[in-house]
Amino acid sequence: MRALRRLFTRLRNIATGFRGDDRLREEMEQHFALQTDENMRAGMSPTEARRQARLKLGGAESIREDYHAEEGLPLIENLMHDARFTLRILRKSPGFTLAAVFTLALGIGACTAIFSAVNPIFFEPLPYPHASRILTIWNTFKGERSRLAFGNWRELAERNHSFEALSACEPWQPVLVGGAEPVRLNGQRVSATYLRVLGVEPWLGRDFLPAEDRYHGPAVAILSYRLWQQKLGGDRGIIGAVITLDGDRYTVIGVMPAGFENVLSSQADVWTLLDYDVQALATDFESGEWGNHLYMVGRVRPGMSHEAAAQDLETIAANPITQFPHWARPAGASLALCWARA
Amino acid sequence: MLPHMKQKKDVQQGTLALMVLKTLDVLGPLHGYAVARRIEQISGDLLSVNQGTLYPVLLKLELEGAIASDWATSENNRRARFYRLTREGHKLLEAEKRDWERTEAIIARFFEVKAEDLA
Repeated sequence: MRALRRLFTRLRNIATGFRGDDRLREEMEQHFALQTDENMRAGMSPTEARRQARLKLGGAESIREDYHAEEGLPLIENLMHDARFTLRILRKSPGFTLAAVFTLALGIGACTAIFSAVNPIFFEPLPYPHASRILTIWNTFKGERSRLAFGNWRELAERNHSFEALSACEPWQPVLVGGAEPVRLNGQRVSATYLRVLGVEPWLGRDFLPAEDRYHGPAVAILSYRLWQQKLGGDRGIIGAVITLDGDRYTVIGVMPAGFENVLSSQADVWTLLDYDVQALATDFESGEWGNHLYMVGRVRPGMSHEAAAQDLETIAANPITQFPHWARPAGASLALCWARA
Repeated sequence: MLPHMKQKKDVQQGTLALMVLKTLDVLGPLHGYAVARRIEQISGDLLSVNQGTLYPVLLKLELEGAIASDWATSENNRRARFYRLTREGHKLLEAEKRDWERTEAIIARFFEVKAEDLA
């Protein structure tokens, strides 16, 4: 409490430029005079009396410094002195000042830019609920990481015990017609569980249904808020409307929230379902169903460790269903899991 | 400044502050010179030189609210700043006094202890 009051008084003294110089000088003069009087009463000559009085009082300058230190905050005052001095010097050499300011500005700017790029990638958690449970799953072959095939996904999705939902997805760039000009969109083909894996629901309309997720199933699309606002009029009546993508007619079933961040494909504006033929898996090993072009992302069950989930998938990968009698697992092939940032 | 020098100064300032409070408590409002004289009489060497160091201490105590001051006329018709103890200063003095007594008691016990007592 006392320290606080002292601090406030000191701050006020700095702010108002209050100087107790006069007060101190007057008090010291007073002290000096009284001491001199007393010395003279004790029988000293006036000169000797003054000399002794001055000796007894001590170094006026050091006392004044102590007094000042008590009055204000020496640290801040010195800093202000330094700052003033710096400004004077800088004004005297504008060329140097300009170069220094420019260098600093560039340095600070570059740091800020790099940090803004690095921060969301390395430090901030994914913008999804319980993000630490979201994993991406990859094939590895001789140390190289690669995407997976529809066949891999289906087997892992059907036989695993550790994922709440496991979704495959691939890039999709359909052309939207119907507006003034055709527009090429960025999008994704996904399993019906994709948004469930991320833990995000459409803001308007509904999510994909599992029943829709089949070969030549209904053509349905979910739009980003951005696309809906900028290219499709932002009308809530969009749900159930039909849009034309790549010449095919898609029924709009949902619009994502405005703040939805799709980390796996940040530019995506439209989502539809994968369109793979389960029948082809068993009959044609050269089909697109066995091409390695899918990304896979899953949400681990609550309480399940990443290691246990990885082990679960490893076990499945090591024992494929014998749908393909001629197929043998290539040496060095395994699954890799990537921890989501959390 | 060397650390031990600083420490020594702090101790002295603290001691001086306590002496100022006690002096004002006993003698009532005084100007700086009278406080210095009084402390010199009682304490001897601590304030026989460098009496000016008293003024920063007075200022510190005043900023803390332990004492207050006003200009007034001294006994020989000089203008002088008179210091007096505030209520808060009184409380501070009591607290400091207790602290000192406790410290003194502890130190005294330490000096009394002999080797055989510890065995």
